[in-house]
Amino acid sequence: MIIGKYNINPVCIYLTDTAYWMARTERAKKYFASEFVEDILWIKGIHAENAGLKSAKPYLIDAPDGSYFIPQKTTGVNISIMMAYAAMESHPEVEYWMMLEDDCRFVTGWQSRLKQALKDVPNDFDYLFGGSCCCADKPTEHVKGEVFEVKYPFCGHMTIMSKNGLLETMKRHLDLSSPGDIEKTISVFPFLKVYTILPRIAEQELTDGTGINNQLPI
Amino acid sequence: MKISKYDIKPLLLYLPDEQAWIDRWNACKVHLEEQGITDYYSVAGIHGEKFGVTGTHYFELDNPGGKHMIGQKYTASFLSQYVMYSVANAMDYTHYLFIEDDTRFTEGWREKLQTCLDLIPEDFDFLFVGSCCTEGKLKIDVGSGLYKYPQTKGYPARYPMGGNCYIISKKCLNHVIATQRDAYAPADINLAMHSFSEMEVYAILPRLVEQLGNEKLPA
Repeated sequence: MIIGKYNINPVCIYLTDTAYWMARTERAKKYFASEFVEDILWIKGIHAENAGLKSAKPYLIDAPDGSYFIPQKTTGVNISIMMAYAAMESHPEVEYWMMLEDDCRFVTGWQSRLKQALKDVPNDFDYLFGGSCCCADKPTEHVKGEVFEVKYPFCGHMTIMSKNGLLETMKRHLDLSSPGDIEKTISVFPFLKVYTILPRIAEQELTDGTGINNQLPI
Repeated sequence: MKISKYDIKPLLLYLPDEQAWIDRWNACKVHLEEQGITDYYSVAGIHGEKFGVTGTHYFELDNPGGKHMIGQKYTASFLSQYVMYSVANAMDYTHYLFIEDDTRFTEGWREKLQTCLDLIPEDFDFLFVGSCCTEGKLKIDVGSGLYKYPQTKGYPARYPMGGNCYIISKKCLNHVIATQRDAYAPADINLAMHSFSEMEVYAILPRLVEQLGNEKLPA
């Protein structure tokens, strides 16, 4: 999809392992089509519970006593993202990716705001968060318009990533014992050019599919 | 890589996480170049210990109630194969040659593979180039060392084992991804138990590759 001067390829992880996930995937497909987000590279992820997978390393970032392991669901998300990265890397012709989670729901006017943000963000950006959370208490510098340099946002339901951002992330994001968004703030983002659109242009669907999650922190 | 009428993309699985694995990858690249395989694409697999991932389901097919788990290495190997399926499915080739980094081609492999690919029906899904544990399993002789395995279900699986080198068609990848959902078993048993019964599966015997350091693998 062409937005401003950028040719951006959407990619989305999905699951069909349970009725819940099948319904969620169907909703996502219809929703993205309704927003004219087309030619998505769909990657079937790993449902950790059904696959029988768990984290084997304790999560130490804010539980240094080693007593806490991330839940199976988070391990599944982490592995699924690795699958997506590998598939994305096999398309070296793609310069920019729009990474979507299947619960991403855009706000009204998101396309024109994204178009403007892509004019305002420095040309050499690696990550541009369209969907983010937990920015309010993070060091923030205004760049231009709605683009900010926040160190660093959480969440990842809608992110534009450059090819360099992808390759550097694959090189550095090798420990799956933490939630991916937290791990990247430590092992990936300090080495990359990361920007955020605020207010965010994408929200997340409620887990039961009945509406938007209005409780996501800014 | 053009062989017979097929344009086959070689995919080389490697691990980038430790020097020993990188050395193994580099040695395989040298070997592939020596064999005239130059258009391979390297795919980074999952290192179970580094990534911190392990299995939770028992593998009890051979010992019901035994509560055996395949362990982190084989769980990661299953996931690495899944990475290969995902990458291949995202690429735009009709066939892929999956190669693990310990694969070593034997003398005359290219001519033998060419002969078998000339013979194999175009709708084939999976061709074991390397394999083991084929003895005593029902197979149909197609000729020139090419064998077809009838579609069967159940354990023990009546297909070849091993997954260090094989050709897979793109047309079967959605099916493979849809049926490889449980990491309880090593990748080769998993394919035989859950995917092959709806696929056209063949093997070249004797195998055309060996595994470095494991050359006495049963035929």
